[in-house]
Amino acid sequence: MWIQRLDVKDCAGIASASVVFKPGLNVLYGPNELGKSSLVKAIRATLLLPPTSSTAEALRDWNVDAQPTVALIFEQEAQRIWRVRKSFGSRAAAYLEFSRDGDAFSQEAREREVEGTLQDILRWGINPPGGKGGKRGMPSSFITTALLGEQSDINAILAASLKDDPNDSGRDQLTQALQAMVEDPRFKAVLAAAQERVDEAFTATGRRRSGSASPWRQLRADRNNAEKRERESRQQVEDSETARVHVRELQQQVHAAEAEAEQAAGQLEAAQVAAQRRAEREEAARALADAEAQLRQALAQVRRRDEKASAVEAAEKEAATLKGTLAAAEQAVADIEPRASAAREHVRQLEAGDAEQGRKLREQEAENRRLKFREQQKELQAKVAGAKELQALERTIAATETEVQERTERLDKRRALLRQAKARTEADQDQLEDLELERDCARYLAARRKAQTLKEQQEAAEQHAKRAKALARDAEEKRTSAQALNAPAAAEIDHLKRLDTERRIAQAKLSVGLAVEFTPEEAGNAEIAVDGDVRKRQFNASEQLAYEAEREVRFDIEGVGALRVRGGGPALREEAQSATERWRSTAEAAFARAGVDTMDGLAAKRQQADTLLEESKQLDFDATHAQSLSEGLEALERDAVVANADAKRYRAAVAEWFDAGASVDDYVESLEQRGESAIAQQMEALAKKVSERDSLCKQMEIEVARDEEKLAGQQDDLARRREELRTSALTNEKWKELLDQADAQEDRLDQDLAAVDAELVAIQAEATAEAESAQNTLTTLTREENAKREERDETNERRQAALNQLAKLQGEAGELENLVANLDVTTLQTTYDERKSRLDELPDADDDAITDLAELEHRRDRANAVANSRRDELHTAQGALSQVGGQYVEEQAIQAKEAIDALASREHDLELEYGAWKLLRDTLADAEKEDATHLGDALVEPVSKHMAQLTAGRYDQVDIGPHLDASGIRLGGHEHSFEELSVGTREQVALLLRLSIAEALDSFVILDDHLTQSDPIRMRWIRQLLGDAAQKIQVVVMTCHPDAYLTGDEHAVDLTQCVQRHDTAPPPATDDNADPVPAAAEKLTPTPTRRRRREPTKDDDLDLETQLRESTRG
Amino acid sequence: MRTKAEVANAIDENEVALTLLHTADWHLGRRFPAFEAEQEKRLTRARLEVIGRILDVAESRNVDAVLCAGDLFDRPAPEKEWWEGVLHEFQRRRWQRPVVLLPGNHDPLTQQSVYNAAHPFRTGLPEYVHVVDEKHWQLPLGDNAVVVASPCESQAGDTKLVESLPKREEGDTRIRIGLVHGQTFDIDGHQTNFPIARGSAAERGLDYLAIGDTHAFREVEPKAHAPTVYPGAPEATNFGEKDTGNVAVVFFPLDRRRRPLVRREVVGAWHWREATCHSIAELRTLASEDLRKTVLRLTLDMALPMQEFDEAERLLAELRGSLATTPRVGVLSEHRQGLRLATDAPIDFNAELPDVLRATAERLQAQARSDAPGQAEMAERALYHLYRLVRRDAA
Repeated sequence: MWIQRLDVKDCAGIASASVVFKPGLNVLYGPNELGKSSLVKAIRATLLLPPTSSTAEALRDWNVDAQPTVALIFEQEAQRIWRVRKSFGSRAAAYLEFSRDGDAFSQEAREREVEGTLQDILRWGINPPGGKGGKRGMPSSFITTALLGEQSDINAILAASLKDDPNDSGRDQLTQALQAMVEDPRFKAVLAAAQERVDEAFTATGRRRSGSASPWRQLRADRNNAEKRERESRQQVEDSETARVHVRELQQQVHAAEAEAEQAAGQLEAAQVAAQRRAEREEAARALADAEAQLRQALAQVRRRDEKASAVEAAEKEAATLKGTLAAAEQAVADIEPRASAAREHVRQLEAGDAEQGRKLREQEAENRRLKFREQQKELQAKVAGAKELQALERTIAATETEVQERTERLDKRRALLRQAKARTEADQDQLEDLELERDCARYLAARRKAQTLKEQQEAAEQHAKRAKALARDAEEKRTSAQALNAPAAAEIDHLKRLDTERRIAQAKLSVGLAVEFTPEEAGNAEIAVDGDVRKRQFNASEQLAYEAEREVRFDIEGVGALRVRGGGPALREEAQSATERWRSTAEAAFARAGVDTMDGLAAKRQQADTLLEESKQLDFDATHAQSLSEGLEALERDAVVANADAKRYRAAVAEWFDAGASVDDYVESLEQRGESAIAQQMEALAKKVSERDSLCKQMEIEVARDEEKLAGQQDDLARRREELRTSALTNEKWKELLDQADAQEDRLDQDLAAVDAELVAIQAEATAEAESAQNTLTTLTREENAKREERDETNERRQAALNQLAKLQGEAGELENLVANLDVTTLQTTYDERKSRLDELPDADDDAITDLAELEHRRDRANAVANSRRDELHTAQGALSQVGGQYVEEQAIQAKEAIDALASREHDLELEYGAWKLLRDTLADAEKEDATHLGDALVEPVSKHMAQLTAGRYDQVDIGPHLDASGIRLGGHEHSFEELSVGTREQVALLLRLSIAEALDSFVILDDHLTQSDPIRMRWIRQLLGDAAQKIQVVVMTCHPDAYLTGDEHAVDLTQCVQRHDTAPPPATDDNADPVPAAAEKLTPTPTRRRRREPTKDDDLDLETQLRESTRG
Repeated sequence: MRTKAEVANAIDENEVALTLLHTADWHLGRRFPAFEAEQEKRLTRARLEVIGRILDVAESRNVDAVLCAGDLFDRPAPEKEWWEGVLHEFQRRRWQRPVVLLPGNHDPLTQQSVYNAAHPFRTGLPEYVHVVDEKHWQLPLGDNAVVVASPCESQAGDTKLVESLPKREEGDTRIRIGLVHGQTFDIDGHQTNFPIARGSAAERGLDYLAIGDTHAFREVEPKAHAPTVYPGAPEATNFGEKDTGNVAVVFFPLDRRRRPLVRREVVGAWHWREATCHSIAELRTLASEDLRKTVLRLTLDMALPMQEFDEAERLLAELRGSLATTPRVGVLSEHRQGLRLATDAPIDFNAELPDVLRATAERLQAQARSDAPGQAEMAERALYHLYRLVRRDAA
């Protein structure tokens, strides 16, 4: 994780600041009070502080009334870039946005959600706001202390512990990160082997693998096949068993049906015998009945003949009666006919009179008038209808004209809209071209930037190479200087020291303590040496000179002589002499070589030489480092050539857009620098919009064409109707007049018709009373005449019927007479008697045996049919059984079952095998988790190693507890608390710990004005250490001592160029901090050689497309 | 194995009128799905290999005819490789002695079967090989003997095929050999296919009734004058089958009053065996045997300390074989659910374990002592995996 960019506004004294960071070492330098710590505070607040927190008040600048605003971009991992924007205070706001390319960000969370999401991403052990019991102030945890330590307490990490974290996310993250550092190699090997076997069978989510390499796959396939075979076999066995049972059932049914048929056949035979007997009796009975019938028939014929003769006689009598009745009826008709003829003549005469003729004439005249009025009425109605048609036609014309007008207007509007949309599309096409240009420019810029970067890297590498040479040269010079000092080796110095000590000891043995008193008689001068300390003095006569010495006193009195008093015996003196000689003979040569005369001088020379050698080593180290930095120069050169070629190619592509002579670079520089993907995204969006609009335009064109067609049709229709109106028989004025008068004329005609109808009624009522009376008489007589005639006709008919009946009866009587004459009743009686005797002689039939022969036959046939049917079924079933069943399928089923059992056993073994691997893997992981709770172990080694290097082995181990709480340091095998160390050493231990934690987490670390107490040598070493760490993580150093850090391989940021305080003038913007993130994106700036046009706004687009859609719908 | 002359001597030096080789139940093409694919191949191949040995015996005994009493194929229409294998065995022999193939209930005479007249197997058979393809089928063996046979025409049925064999006609003095496929037992509730009643041989006037179906060698009526014989399967088809791996060589004496002599000849190569080991010593002993032609169903029932458990696994691996090593057992079916680790015994990992591995081992040991079903077994196995990995690492 590394910070890409920080933007601050009105925050903790900073008016505005924009800092662009890079991976690796970032050195942000500037004088005190510029706001370095404020920037760190801003980073801390961005990542940790809810915008509504009262703690944010501390960020507020009391000099201005503005809300502190911060924006931070950091890359969590490749292609996971986050931007956090916060505004603290009364109008607090927070946004968390995500991007893959660092250009296009999409909102991931806002306001209160931001803190929770952010802490989920960071996993620093911080609780999101809202929980109870949270501490007030800036949230902090072990990791925040390590990565974002405050300047005021740079050693806080030494007192921090994971135990104090608000939640376990930080511990979990560190555990995860540190586990890898402490795993035992054997454990790793076992875990890897177990994991490998688990991976063979299971996916990462613990599901069984199903791919071609899965161990379950073949087994599962075999199992499925076996189960399928087993199912089929089982089914076959079941079928076989069913078939076998079916065969047995059918066999039983066949036997039952055969028995039934046999029984029915027996019963049928008995019944048939009985039936035969009964048939014979019935035959005899029938013959008897025939004879009896013939006898009865003959007797009946005789009786009928007698009856018929009586009927003939009665009919003759009735015919005679009816003859008389008919004669009377004919007479009555003859009587009434003359009276009816007279009445009819009387009526005819009355109707032929003059009065009646006049009435009929008037009636005819009235009728004629009535017809005339009717005709007039019809004529008028026809005229009115014509006029109304014309009136309707006129109205239709008016309506059509209105419709044509409306359609014309709508069509014009649509055409205008269409033109507008096409113009807009052209504009968008132009914009697409602009974007294409911009994209080409972006490519060019990217290529150029890359070329530039490569060039810078190339130059830097060259600088490093030069510097490496210079440093090597300096190192050589230092070594030469060190050699020129001719300082004895440390061992020689030690030897000299030992000789000196021996000498001193030997001399000390002579130190027995001396007290010398001397009283001169005369005044004089003397040189007195007490234990080698020589002093001169004058003395007076009789002055007592008293001296105390350890080993020797020597008086050298001018003009008198010398006195030497020494302590110790001769052996001790000799030993001292010898030691002194040894010392002298050895030391003098060394002193002579080194040009000094004391041991201190020699030690100083040695130290000087050591320092020079140490410096030469450091220079060698630096030279090697610089040399390593310059490695890859050739590759860089090649890359630079390629990048330049790319830039040239892309520039040529951009240049094609412009007229000759136009300044491509000026244009490109004037552009807002956007990423290619953002432009491509915009192009895609715009192209989509254009495509959608084109689609709408096409729809609109279809609508317009349809409107035009309809309009043309309506206009033709209108012209035709106008012509029709113009050429009609009635002029415009006439039909209107006619319509106006039509009602009055209609009324008049109605009145005339009513008058004629009344007249006709009156004429018809004028019939005379006489005619009416004659007519009544005629009616009565006619009715009476008809009645008499009917009576006569009826009597005649009855008589005819009686005569016919008589004739018929007479015929029948004749026939019967003849029949009876031919009958032999006696013979018939004899025959009857004979047959009766025969019937009586026949035996009776067994009625119980005779049930129903047909039923018995049916039963027998049915039983036979059932038996046959069952036999057929039996054969079929036996055939089926022979095909599907038997031992064969049972064996197959047993085989299939055995196969399944075997596969189940194999599956169990496989499950056991891989389940055991899984269990082993999980158990290893659990044990490791438990074992890894002592997180400190992982950090002890790197921290201690660096500490030992830093202190030249003086401090050999830093103790770090299970919760990463550093407790102390070892010195010479003894533990010391940090308080016992110097401030500088404490700072250094804290730094090492923080760096190690950041490296474990692969995270940035911010060092705010740390190491203020370190000496230059350690500073140099630490600078090297930071450089090494920056190879792996981002290290941000805030310092007011840039010289200690700036060596050329870091990203240096002069904060005076980036930070504007409220009390200072705005600084000129640098390349790195040109665009504050929250600022709105600016529009493309075209060059003078390109056509300018008004950019359509989003609202314009919305309106136009809405209109297009609505118009299309309309 | 005695020669024809020796046998002749054995039957009171009467001359032998006729010698037959009677076989059945080859079950070619039979699958063994309970075994793994490679093992199954070995067993199915073995069924074909035995045919050659059967015919070799016929040659060496100089029999007059070979009677194959059904179920030569495991199903009516086996794959080509099976019938081609048989065809090859017949075609490569320039025989005159007849070989009679009888369709059984596994390979009945149907439209689809290999015995159908149009089937390439049938058309490819040399002239000396005859197929019983109708009821009342007869084949004279010279002037003095005749084979009468009736085929199965379905997989199951209660047809008494032996009753369709013609009875001895009056004056027919030839040696009459009946050939049918079916079952001579009738157990209530058990399907009996193509039943063969006792006394059928005598009832039909036969001197020998050659039958097939049962996989064990069996003389059905040992005291009857006319033997009724199942030769059994020449190679066993499953565990538990006894008296398999034989053919019957039948000697008919010239003295017709004497009963024909029936002798078993061993032709099978494979031995099906079930074994249970209760200790590592038993397993060691078993593993030292020659088991290359053995189908072994091995059940392990023992709890072993880790070192012996490891040895057991190693012995099993040797028996089982691998891609790199030849299996010591022809076909192995392991039932190892009873092989358990004695969890109370200390485990010598032969290495100074790191704490985390020691903790892992302790946890697994605790789980191995659990009563939860399956958990203990799995923990034992995991413990063994750990043991192997640590030992390997240490090595």
